[in-house]
Amino acid sequence: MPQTIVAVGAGQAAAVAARTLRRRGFDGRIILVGDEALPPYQRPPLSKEYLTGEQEGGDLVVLGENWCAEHDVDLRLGVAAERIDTAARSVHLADGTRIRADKVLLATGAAPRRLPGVNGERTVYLRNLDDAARLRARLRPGAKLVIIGAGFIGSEVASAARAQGVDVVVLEQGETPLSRVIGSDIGAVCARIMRDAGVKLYTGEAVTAVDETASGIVVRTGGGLRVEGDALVVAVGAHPNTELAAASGLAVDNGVLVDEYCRTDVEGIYAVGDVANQHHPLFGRLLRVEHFDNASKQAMTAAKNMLGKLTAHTDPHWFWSDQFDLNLQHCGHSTDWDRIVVRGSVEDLDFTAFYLERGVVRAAFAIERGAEITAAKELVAASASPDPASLSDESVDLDSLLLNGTTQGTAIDGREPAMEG
Amino acid sequence: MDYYRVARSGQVPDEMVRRFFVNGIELAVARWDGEVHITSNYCTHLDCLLSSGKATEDGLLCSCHGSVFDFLSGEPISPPATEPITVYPAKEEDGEIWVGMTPAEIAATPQRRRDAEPA
Repeated sequence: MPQTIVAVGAGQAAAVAARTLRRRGFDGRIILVGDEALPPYQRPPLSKEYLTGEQEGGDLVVLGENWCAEHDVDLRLGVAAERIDTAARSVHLADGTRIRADKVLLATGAAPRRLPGVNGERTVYLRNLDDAARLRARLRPGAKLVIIGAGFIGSEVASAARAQGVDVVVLEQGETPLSRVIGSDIGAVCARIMRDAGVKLYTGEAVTAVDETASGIVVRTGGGLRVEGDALVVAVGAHPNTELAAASGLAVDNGVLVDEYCRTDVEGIYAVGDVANQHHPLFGRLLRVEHFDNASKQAMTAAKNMLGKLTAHTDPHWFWSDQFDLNLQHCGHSTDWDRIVVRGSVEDLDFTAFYLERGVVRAAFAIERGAEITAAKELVAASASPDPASLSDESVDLDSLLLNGTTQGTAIDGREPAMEG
Repeated sequence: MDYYRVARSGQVPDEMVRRFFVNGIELAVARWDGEVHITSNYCTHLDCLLSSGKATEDGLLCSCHGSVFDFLSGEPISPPATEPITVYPAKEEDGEIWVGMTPAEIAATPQRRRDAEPA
């Protein structure tokens, strides 16, 4: 049994790991090192409820100082970790402190991708509570907001801004919002939702120049658009914070490489959340996932493995997005589906779309149908190949398709999905 | 505390969750391993209806944002929820489900929910 477990990074994943360790009876030291001054807090509301004022900063805390005191969890906040001495098994902090650790959890997260030279007062890259507070202060009725990128963050910010009477322009390089994840056919539905809410959405527009002056910003695109605004949000993806892992000699490739047990290539060191590029048995490939549920699940997995209960993370990924008064959900992973089967009504914004590869359900996306995504997750986990006519038939219970209509649950690369050990 | 009739036992099959109103209070009534569990129907995260969710081995799953609540304590064991849901005493007699409520609980204004839950 380890004596000291140190988490590098004090966000959602570290918080869930600490809770899991204590719930499972670990009574050694737990230390969370975070470079932000705040205790662990949830980030999903930063692009949603926090921006609209429905939630305040204090509502977001997931591991409060009281809980930490009661459960003897040591928060070292406002100080960055610099590297892990893997031989001496100690974590070196920027203030010179060294912490001995039997096990280390790397949960350093990701950082917004930046546009070169675009970092003025009126520009927000949304990641932290500070960023969200700066943006929130700009969301006043009649203000003009320009958003670069119509992914989930860009779309949610557009929704929150419109809800407060802000004039919103969204510039998206792709054919539709979210096209990389859900394809352009279903992405077109999201474009319609945005435009119906009064967002001026321009797709197929690559940004070529951003100028910020004392009075505003001007964005120019390859298609010849010139858009003025009071503020700019750049939401063009994120990259994993791998500097510490690389400085410590861990294997890094688009994130810290880990196996299905969230183990890095150095014994006793685990990586989870946005920074982890995990071999996922169900999909037979490396996947780095920047979503809340994945961070939580991987953290639980790593915590169990640290305590000697060998556990694989094989869950199909799942996430939600609340925007324009609609609940969007997605599960699984597919980049080369050959068929999309729709259940429900796209017109009425009440449907689930199933993404099939050679008949196997690999992913699903739903608007206002969270319960069906719960069922879809099980279909994805089982690599089920239900009859497409049954998938789209609303009188057929999705859960029944797990039992009938499944050809066997072999992963696409031929490996059996690993089970909890 | 008094017990009030909720439903016939057969209305809540194993591994299912259903919505009922008793004394104006909206309840999620779930069954797992044969046991009936009764809680408030509002998720403490963003007030989604738990009856739209699912009974699972770990507890009651909210289908909006994935929080899971322990059946017995109401504690969130999986985020994003951080606050527990109200758990009411439940019993089954002669093929009927009963819920225990105090006068104070009944007198309290029913919690209003937002309109953000899935259909």
